[in-house]
Amino acid sequence: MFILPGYIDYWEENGEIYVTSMLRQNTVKLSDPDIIEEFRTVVRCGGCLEISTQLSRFLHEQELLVDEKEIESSIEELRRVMNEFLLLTMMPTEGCNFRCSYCYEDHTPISMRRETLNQIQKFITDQASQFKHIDIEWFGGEPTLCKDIIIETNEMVQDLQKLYSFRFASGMTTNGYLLSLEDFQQYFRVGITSYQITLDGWNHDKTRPHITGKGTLNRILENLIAISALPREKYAYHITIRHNILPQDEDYSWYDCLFKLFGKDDRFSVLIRPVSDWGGDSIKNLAILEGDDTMKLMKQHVEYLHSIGMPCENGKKGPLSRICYASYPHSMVFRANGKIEKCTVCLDHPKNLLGNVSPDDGIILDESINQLWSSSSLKPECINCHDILSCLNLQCKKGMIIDGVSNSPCSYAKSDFF
Amino acid sequence: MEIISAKQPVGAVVVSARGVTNDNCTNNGFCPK
Repeated sequence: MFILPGYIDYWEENGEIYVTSMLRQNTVKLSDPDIIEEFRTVVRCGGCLEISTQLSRFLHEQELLVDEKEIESSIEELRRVMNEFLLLTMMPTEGCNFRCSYCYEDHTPISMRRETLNQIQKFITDQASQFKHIDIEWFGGEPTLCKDIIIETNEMVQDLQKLYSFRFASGMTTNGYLLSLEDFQQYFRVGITSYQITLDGWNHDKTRPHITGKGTLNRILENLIAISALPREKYAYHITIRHNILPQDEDYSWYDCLFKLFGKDDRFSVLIRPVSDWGGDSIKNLAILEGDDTMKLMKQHVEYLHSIGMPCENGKKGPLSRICYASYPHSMVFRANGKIEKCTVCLDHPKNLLGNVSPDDGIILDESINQLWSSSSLKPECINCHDILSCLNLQCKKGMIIDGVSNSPCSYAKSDFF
Repeated sequence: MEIISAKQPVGAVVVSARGVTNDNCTNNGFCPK
C-alpha cells in the first residue's frame, strides 16, 4: 500500500491542489481536473495499491506517495543525521544567584574543577574530526557565573573548527541577570548565538528572586534592551524569552510590554510553558497547572501573542525539532561534579547516569545507558502522525524511562500550542 | 503537474530547520532546559 504519510501536507488554492513534504521541503502543484479528482480518490482511500498512473508515478518520484518500507528508510536517514551531531550540555557550576520557586536543582555551590574541564576539552578534541555538527549548550546552575570556562572552551572549539570545518553552534540557558552588553558581545564572539532566558511576567520578582531576596526583572530587562540595540547585520542571534506560567497568570499586559520592547526585533520570541513538577522540594509549595487547565491557559497565552504580532515559539514543528537532546546518540550532560548524564532534569537518577569524567582515565561512558535514551521504535500510529518527523517517538524519554509513563508527550505534541 | 520547489537532502533540511542560530537545539520544551 502506498500512502500519503503524516509528514505530507496538501491544500487547495484557486482550484489547484498543492502537495508538500516536510521531509524534503518540496512542493508540487496539481492543476488538471482529472488529476485532481484522482488525487482526491487517493486521499479518500487512504492511499493506493500500486504505482501505475501518471499521478502516482509523479507523487512517488517526489516521495510524496510512499510505502511503509520507504517511510522507514526516510526515518533511518533522519537517524543517520542525528548521528552526525555531537551535543554537549555543559554545567560549569551548579551554584546559582537566583532562588526560583519551582527550581528542581539543589544549588550545590560547586564549579567544574580544572582537571575535569581538561578531560572534557581533550574529549572534544579527540572527537572533533568525526562529527559534522558540534553543539555546545551552556546550562547550570547559572552558567554566567563561570564566564572564563565558557570563553575558554568555546574558543578551543572554534580553533578545532578551523582544522576540521564542522558546523559549530552554541547556546546558553541563563537567567540573564549577569548578561551585560559587554559579556553578551564576548559570548557572541566565541559562537554563542542562541539563548533561553526566562521572564515570568509581572510575577517574575516573586517566582525568580535573587539569592538575596531582591527582585531581578528590571536588571534583566535592562540587559536585554541593551542587547536588542546591537545592529542586526553584525549580530545574528536569537533570544527565546520563556514564560513559565501558573494557574493565575492571566494578565496579558505583560506581552504588550514585551512587544513594545522587542516586538520589532525578529531576534526575540516568546515561549510559553507551564510550571511543572520537575523535582525538588520547592515546587511542593506551589499550585501548578494540571490536566485540561494547562492547555486551556496555554492556548489563551499563545493566541494573545499571535493577536498582537509577538513572535511565539509554541507549536513549531520542523524535522527533529521536538526530539529531546537526551535522545541524540552522541549527547551528554557534563556536570560540575564530573558526572555525565543524559537528561538535565532527573539529575542523579541511576538510569540517567551515563558515566563520569575521570581525572586519570578521561571520559568513561556506559553504552547501555546511552542505548536506553537514544533507541526508540515507532508505534503503528506514528506512520500517519503529522508530527512523525519532528518527533520520531523520541520526545521525552524521561517520561518513559524514569516516570514510567508510556505515552506522555503525544497529547501535548499534537497541540499547536505546545 | 508541476514541481514548485525541488527535493532537498534530508541533512540540509534538518540543519536549515535549526537555523543559523541553532534555535531548535536542545530546547524540546518539555523541560526547563
